[in-house]
Amino acid sequence: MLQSWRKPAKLFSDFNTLQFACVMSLVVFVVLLTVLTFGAPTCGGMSADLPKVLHPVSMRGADREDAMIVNITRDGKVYFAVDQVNPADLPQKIADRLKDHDVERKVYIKADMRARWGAVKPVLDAVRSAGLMRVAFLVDERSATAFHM
Amino acid sequence: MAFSMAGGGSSGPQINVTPLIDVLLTLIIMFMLVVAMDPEYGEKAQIPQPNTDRKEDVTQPRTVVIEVMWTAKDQAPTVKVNQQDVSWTDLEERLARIYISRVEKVAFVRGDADVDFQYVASVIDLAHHAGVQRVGLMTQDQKVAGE
Repeated sequence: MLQSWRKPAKLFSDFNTLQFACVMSLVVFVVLLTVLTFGAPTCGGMSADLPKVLHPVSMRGADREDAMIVNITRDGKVYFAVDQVNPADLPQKIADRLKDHDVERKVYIKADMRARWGAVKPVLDAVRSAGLMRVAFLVDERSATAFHM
Repeated sequence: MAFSMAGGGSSGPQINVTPLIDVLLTLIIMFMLVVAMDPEYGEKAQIPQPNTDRKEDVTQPRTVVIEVMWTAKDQAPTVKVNQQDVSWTDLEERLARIYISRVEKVAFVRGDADVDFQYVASVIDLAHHAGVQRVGLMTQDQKVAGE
């Protein structure tokens, strides 16, 4: 009995790479599907068909978690981050955010390229009412060959 | 009657998963890098605050106002620089000529309500590339000083 207990057990230290490969494959597919379905994660929590311009500048501030981003959809709906708002309520919401002194005093506007300028104007007025001057429009870069008006 | 097979191990084919895992890890890292390094692009602009002290600045030079005027549905709007029609292809060159000798590189952009935002964004972009440092957005139909 004792002798059989002392018998060295079968080595059980193998790494089961097949299961690991299965998990990795699953992770890759999930990431791939997420990116393909929803696109790359967008700042402001919403994706939009942004205007395409030739010479945009980098907007690192828009990537900050506390960036104030106003989304304007094609049909003129206005969202402060992901919450739909009335432009008339926007000054108060911006003012609330500005109580945090670390917040950049700039509003990033992410408007759909086919949104009417008349839908953007109330947002600009609201930003002005909140006491801010600086805005930035988020855009996409396009190649020079694709520029036609 | 007993018989034995040579070699006690399994003789079935086995997939070599090590290179597969290498490839998968590389794919994951590439996805993460592509997503993380996708930068945001934008166009800076400013919203002029209303003049509170009511003092007219008589020495202000003639202000440059770029207007984007709606024409018809599904047609590109017309663009004017200080009331003069300019084609879209000539806009940047025209602005560059204006601002090459100016010290104060400020322009104002005014657009019709029905104009697509794409066109206003293009005007801001071309103005910046032509040398305008600050673009003011006019949301109301008021005149600016010097216009």
